Amino acid sequence: MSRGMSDRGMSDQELRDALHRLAPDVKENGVWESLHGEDAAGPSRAPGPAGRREGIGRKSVGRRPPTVGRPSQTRTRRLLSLGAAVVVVLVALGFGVNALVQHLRQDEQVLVISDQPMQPGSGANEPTQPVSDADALADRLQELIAALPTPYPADDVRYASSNPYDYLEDNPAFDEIVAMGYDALPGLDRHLATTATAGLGDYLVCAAIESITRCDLKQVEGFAWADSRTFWGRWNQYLKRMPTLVDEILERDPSFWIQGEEIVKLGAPAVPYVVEYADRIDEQQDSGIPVLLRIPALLSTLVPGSEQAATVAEFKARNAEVIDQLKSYVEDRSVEVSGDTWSTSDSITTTFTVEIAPEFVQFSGLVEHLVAQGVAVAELREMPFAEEYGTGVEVVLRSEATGPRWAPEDVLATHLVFRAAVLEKMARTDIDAVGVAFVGQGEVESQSVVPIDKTIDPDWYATPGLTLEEAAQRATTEISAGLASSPFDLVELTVIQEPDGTRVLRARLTVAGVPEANESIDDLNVVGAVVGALNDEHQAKIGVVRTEVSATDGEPVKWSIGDLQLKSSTWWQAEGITEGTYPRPASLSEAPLSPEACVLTQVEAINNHDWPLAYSLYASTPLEYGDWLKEHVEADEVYEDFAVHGTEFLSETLLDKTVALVRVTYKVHFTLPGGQRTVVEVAEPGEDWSVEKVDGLWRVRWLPRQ
Amino acid sequence: MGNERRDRDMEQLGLDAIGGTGVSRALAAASAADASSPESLFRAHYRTLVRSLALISGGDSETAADAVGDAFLQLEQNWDRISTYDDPAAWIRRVALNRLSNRRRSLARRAGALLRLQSQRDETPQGIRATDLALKDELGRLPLKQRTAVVLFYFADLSVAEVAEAMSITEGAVNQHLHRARETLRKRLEVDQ
Repeated sequence: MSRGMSDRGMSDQELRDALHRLAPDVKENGVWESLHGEDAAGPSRAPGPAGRREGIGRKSVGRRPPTVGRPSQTRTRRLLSLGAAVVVVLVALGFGVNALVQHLRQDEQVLVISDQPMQPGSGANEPTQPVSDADALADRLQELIAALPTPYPADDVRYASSNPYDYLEDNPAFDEIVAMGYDALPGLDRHLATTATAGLGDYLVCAAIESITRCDLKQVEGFAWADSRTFWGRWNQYLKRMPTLVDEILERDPSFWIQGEEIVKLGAPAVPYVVEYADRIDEQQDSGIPVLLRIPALLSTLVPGSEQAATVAEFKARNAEVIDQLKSYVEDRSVEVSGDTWSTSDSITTTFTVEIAPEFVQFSGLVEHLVAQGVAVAELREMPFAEEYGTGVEVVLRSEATGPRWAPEDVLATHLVFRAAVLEKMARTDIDAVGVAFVGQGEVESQSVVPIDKTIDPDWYATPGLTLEEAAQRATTEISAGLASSPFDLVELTVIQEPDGTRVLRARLTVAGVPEANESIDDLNVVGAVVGALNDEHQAKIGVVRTEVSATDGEPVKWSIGDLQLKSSTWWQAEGITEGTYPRPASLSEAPLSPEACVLTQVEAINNHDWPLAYSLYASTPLEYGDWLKEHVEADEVYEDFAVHGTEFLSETLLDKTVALVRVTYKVHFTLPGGQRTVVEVAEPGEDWSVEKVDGLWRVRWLPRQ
Repeated sequence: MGNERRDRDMEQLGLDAIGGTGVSRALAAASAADASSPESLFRAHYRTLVRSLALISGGDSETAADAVGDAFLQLEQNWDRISTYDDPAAWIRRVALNRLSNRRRSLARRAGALLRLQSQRDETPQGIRATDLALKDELGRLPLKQRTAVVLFYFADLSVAEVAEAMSITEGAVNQHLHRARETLRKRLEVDQ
């Protein structure tokens, strides 16, 4: 089999050929006719009633639409019999009244009898095919979700009702989703994970999840969710705690009534864990305790339509598939999001997929935001310093950097994470802060946490005064005119609208090289000025300005995001850009990649009188190099016994300004202005030197050291 | 399905653009020819689809035929709606795959399928090579999504976009599945040597 595998493996053509040889032959003749109940060898017959045609010579494979209406008379009798039996059992076992009422109310709608393990809402008289899952999901679920908020006729008293539960009545889409049973749950989850809104339709999706799982989150968690976002976050937390919740209830001092009622409240997701609990007790050979005796009835209550059983083992054997399905639903709920990284200057895109672990699925909307903008998310992780910052998640990004400096994509991505988190919070996701970490070649290169403390003024989403095309056209004309005598050329300008409604102006410019850009860097201010004028005078509503300036050889020169909505700017600039908006130190000859390395390098540079290096290691200085040099030569600082005792990472609002405190002890000898030589000792616990990350390199802050 | 698009998809994957194989030509011709009735779609796609699903399900052509038959029944029942779609064949593929997935979930059916598989293993198809059997085993060990993507792309000759639509995933995810599948097959088959 190794033929041709030495370099690039089996060739594509070989693989194709092999698959064609492996695929079993299929006879097509007569199949179409048999699908229609027509004798393949004979003349065609008329189709069966209502277009439903049974095949000849094969079992029935079709199915009716899911049944949610009243059962047939025969079936009703059987239901009543079984219902009565269950009532007797429940009463005998001392179930709480509420649980009993809930149980009976549910039975009326969904209890079915079948020779197959069934789910809520399954058609009882279709034993060969449980009411379906994936096909219905693929074909119908999205249609049904879209149809959920269908209004009632204008003459209906419920027309325009503000009570969402009014819309559950006479709602065929809702009924059909519920009838899909547990098979619908992953699809409903996926919908909420990626598109949940505060609208009525998504509210009803949440209600469908509760209905299918027979769990009222308000009742069991005391959590009155107001919309799908708040439901979704709490629902995931709730399911994550399910094994613990079950154990806590069952291990509590056994009170028949309360225990049974509480387990029933947990809903169907509790079933696998109730079974596991029973298994554990069984292993302890303590099967005589009251709770174990009650478990089979509990399980039957939680999964209406499940096969009745006298013992847990029997229930487990008869309903193994349902138990597995529920356990998978609770535990294996990760979400995959795929996308392409944004197109860089050489137009290379990279496809990636991020799998979001179950504990973070409530943040999958945040990932969707980022992926839609080409940000390469590697994974979501637990946010550091959660005790300090509250609820949040750490977004791990794939660094585009190939050396010690951040790539421009990295810098801009940090802002996009912050922005996406703001949007998620505005969409009512429970998030107080967001962490950002970069991985490149498998190692974390930086970490920061930022509180989500901003919001976007709704006025940004008001009807704009210009269309996207008009805004782009005016901006192009005016920016080009503004740059007429500048070394910068505007090569492309677009105005697009993000899914959240924000208008983004994206401009690509070229310049001969970094020196030319540095000399005229302030010319770029024309972009902001033009956008400001369009917003002020024409209500263009451009909320974000993204500018990418590259040299004619394609090397990035200055990339930036001006976020007018969040009132912040983020940029990356080439090393040679020293003029303009941010005072930059000279180029580094060293590359301190950690806070500790930064301070140690600077102290060593001062001791060695390597003044250019020492100066370059400041994040910013209020002094020109000449003045600074004069001061330091006169002071002639010399450090002794300099030691680092630890680093505490902090953060600021802007994600690309990661801040840390490095605790140090030392002795420093220096000359006072009068010429007197003196020494100062900083003993333990030491003092904190504040350092800041700029363009991927740590640098010492000037003022805190003074 | 345009060969131009196929070639572009394959370039993205770093694969050889091989031009139209017999199947791709046939499918392209069928797609272009007549999608005006359920029967014409059946004639154009049934056989390839059943064979594809049989490969995905480890050789269980009966289950595959049932799943595809279901899809065509649904097609006919909903023809008024589906005939308005840009690509009814894509709808059939998706439904058939979902049907297959449903069937695979049933323990009883799975047991039956295993029995059928067992009996089929005794029947070595004519013209099959020893190397093909190794590939078949390794194909069966691939995760379902990877296997599905490989079969639809390499056997059914669908474009990445069409595979994505059939599997209800993004094109990026399809590329990932294909890439991983190829890597896995390459490594395993090398080890087998």
